[in-house]
Amino acid sequence: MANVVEAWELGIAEAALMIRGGELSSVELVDSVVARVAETEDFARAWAHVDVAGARIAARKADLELKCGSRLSLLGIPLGVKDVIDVSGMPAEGGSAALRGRIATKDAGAVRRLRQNGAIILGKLETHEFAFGQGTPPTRNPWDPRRYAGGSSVGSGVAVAVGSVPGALGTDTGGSVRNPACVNGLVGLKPTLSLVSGSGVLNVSHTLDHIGPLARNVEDCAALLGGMAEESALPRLRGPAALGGSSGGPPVRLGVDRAMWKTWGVTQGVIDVVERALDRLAALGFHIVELSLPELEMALPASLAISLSESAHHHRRMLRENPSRYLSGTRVMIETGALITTADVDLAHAVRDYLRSSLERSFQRAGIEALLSPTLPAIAPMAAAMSHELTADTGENSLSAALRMLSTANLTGMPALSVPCGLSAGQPVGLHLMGLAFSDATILHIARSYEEASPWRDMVPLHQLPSRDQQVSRAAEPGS
Amino acid sequence: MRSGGGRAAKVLTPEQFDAVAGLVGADLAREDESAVAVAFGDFRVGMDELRETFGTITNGEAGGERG
Repeated sequence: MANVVEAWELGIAEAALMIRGGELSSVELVDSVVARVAETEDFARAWAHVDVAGARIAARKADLELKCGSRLSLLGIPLGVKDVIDVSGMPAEGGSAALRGRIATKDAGAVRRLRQNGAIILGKLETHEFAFGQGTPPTRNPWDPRRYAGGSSVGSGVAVAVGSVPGALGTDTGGSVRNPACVNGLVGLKPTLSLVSGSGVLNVSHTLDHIGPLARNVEDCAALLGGMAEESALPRLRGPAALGGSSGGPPVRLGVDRAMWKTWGVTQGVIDVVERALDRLAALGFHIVELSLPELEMALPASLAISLSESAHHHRRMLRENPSRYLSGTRVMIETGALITTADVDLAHAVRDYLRSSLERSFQRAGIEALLSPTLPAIAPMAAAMSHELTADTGENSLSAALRMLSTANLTGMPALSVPCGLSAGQPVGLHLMGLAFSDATILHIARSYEEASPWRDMVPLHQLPSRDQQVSRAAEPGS
Repeated sequence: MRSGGGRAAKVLTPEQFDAVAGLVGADLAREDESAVAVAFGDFRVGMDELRETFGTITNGEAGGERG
């Protein structure tokens, strides 16, 4: 293993190649990752459940399959799964006391596909309760434990960042894959709607929920997408999901709407970092085109109408059985959803249809392949200053402000990705790329072109975690 | 487009209260009433603005290259 000390430091594509080439066994990789879990969990608290015995059995089986000639794309690679996605035989509590003790009896569709492609499921990762973004899971931000660690796929982001797993699944209803990817210095993809099976998920909203991968680099993210996508949907991609060969090609036009960044309240520190990323893309031969897309502002209220009203439907039975076991913040969101009228939902669907067609027209008119923006309006807020409200505009340090920037992709079903593009005040900043439906491979290629020309791919995994002094000072803060 | 103008609301209408109570029971509905009223008020403001904006935007041509 040239240039690395431990197997846990390897990315997915690199480790898979070494396993297939006989340079590394799956057992060695799983043992190294399990040791890293033990090394980091005291700080990170990213895992809700780790199945060490099951992972070792699966690793031995993968090594045997290799000897029998298997060349599956993810053979022997351990992965983590957000605890709103079912993994057969593992706890499936959705981060909620209301489901304490629930064990999944069947794999979610995306998990089934990953296993078919050779992956090993190491365990379940912490989530905000039922992926609503409310409350405070125990997971800590490894860049600064005083700060928000991302959400709601918080364990998925932190585990991949600290190296306790090379890749993970999250769910994204309004940005919950891309948000923790951004905050933790990772690549996170919300695939095109229907590209990945949505079965076996504790839904917030069956219309807006998407399962997506988080990884340390674009190549790994693409490998995960290729391994989890529905076989029947893959031909609709304009190219292979897994990246191979050169990312070169004819010059590509990319759109930006800087006026919208101001409307969204993006901070100057984040804008400065993103502008440098745009300069780098321009130097690579990409044409940056300024657009005006005021209709993007309609996405958040329409998304909330659909997601909250559907959440009341999904949670009705469980809420009636165990209402006091829900966090009050989650309960209030679902109760709010129960008050939304059919007329509001109809309007939201009309807005959804309009945005799909108007964005497609705008992309075609401008000849662009992707719309670029900052992923989040600011660096990770101090946890104590974070507002978790969904329905109120409460400034740059709020979940609502993040949803406002990210929910268009969920509402329209378009693919969107966050790739690290630098640091502001020592915290990661993400560049967000959104493409037309089934252009997932295209936006992955654009992101990889940028990543190859920038120094940010090596930001993770983080080898040094915050010191005990920093952890103690966090614990002493009010509300922590 | 989101002004948060629904912040003044503190109580639900009887129909709204019944809908919430049907989900979580009357005791928790009372406990959550103020927070739900505020959240729904904020949501309502956003939806009313959306209805107005959507009406305006669909009458004109949205989107286009600036230069």
